[in-house]
Amino acid sequence: MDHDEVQARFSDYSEGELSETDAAAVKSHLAKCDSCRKEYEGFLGALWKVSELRTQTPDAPQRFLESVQGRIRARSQGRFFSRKRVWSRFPLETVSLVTLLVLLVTYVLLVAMQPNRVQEVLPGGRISGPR
Amino acid sequence: MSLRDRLFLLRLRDREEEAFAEMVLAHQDRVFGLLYRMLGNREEAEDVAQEVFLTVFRSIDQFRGDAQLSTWIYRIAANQCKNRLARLVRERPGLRADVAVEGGKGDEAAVYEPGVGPGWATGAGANRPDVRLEEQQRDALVQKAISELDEEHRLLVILRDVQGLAYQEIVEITGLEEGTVKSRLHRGRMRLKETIEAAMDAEGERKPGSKAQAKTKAKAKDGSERT
Repeated sequence: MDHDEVQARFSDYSEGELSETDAAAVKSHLAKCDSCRKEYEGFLGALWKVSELRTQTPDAPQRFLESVQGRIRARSQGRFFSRKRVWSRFPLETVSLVTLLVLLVTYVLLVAMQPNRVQEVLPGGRISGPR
Repeated sequence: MSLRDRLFLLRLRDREEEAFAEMVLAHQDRVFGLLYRMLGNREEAEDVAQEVFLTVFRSIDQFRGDAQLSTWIYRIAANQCKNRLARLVRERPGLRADVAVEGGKGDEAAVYEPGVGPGWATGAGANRPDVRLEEQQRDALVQKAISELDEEHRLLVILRDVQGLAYQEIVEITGLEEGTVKSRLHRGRMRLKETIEAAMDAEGERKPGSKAQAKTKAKAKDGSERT
């Protein structure tokens, strides 16, 4: 491997992602090439400094959640976070069936509760009113 | 997706406020951290982070559950961040050259200034104020170097090296092939190395008695002896 090929593999080499053959070739090159070894040390140093940012990255500000919720409420004009209406918790088919049943029962009850009416056909085909 | 995750997703789809609060609290620090490192500015990061969770809330019905919820949220954050960066560049041309770089955790006032500070410190004495200041300045320098990367390299360096995500997760967030992620990440790292080394050399040359200054003097002496 020449210098460029070795340096192109720094990332994979440092993360143990190279095949055994390639890793051995890079290792052997670094052992005898001062220039590439210096580059690799600089590479690892930069990676180390970047990884240290992990512990220095600030957390989200206090009351971040409240700010987000406030923004949602402002943008949605109350549509979000509203309590679900009762009917929306049941399937439409069930609601329809129950409604039909209620209407049927109501109808039957109304008919049953009506007073008996006797009607007779008068001469001339007219129908008499209820007695 | 586990049963617990599926039930949690159902609660989110029901727009249940408690579930949403749980989700925000679980992801807010990592999302804010990503945006803070991408944008280099606390206020911008907070504003975009809020937009991210607003989008999550609006679009939760579109989440199919074929990836982790955290990955999906990260994807939204990365997209929103790209949009914000594009807007900032439109509004303030030349932003990348003079991007505002703040210090990190607990560091309200530390802004990297080349030539200020006694040098780089690590390990022992980390609690001493002077050592702490050095660390803050070093972090600010590294953050500045990250801010100078191309947007695509910056995102990959932050996801992998600052936030420590696995390659598979980065692939899902960015939508790039793993090979592309690795090659771009490597280019970003090499660029970062050059920028950091140049900045540290410049820093060293400003300090009396530093190695860099000694090297410069030696070069100058060597040159004068030859002439």
